[in-house]
Amino acid sequence: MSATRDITMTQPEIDAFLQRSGHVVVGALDADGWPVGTLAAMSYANGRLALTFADSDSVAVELQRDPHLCCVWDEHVSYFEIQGVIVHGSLADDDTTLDVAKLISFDFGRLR
Amino acid sequence: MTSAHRLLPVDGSVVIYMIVRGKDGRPTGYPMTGMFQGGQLEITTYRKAPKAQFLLADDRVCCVVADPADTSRGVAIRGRAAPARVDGFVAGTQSGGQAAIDVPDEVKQTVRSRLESDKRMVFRISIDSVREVGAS
Repeated sequence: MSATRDITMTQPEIDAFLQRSGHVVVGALDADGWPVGTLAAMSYANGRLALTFADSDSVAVELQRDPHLCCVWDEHVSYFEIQGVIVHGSLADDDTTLDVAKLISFDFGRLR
Repeated sequence: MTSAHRLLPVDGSVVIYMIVRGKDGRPTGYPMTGMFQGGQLEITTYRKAPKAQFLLADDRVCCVVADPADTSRGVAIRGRAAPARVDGFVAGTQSGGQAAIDVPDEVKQTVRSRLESDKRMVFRISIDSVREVGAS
């Protein structure tokens, strides 16, 4: 039986990743429960993630009805350079910042 | 329908960000390698992985592909996922088509081995629509 290796990033690595990631995939559910997704600009400052959607983005409209979302992004030059995050949370009342419930990170370099 | 967009190869792989409905009824997402063959999209995952269980519970899926030249925009593929035969996926990994990521041979071999031993499974995503998302 093999032990599962810990491939999570450290908090400084996560901070650096989020600061250099200009965009992120945002997932939500529409009124019928269908998963929907889009790309949004992302900023990270003072420990807070913020999203800016393109004008009339349909996912942003869905988030007005149900603010629960996930954000996913990675860097993937080569297999062992894959780094990324998956964020679960909800869009705050200001329609921009994220209330983060859970953040998962991964760095395939730790699999070497 | 099949994939028909400049960001989606007819044959080859791309990085997709797959959005599904999670156990708690909320959206969750995964970066994955999407394998296109003849315009059909397939993915593989460990049979016991949460994403496999989520897809078996609710087959509706959205896969976002970012434009490598401008990650502010991309396409969103809407479709339904169903378990599929593994042999086509294995053949696709050996076809020499466009590759999403430079994957070491030992990793490819492990994937093939896990598919053949049934630890991994393949889902084919029947594409309903492809639409552009993000910045215009």
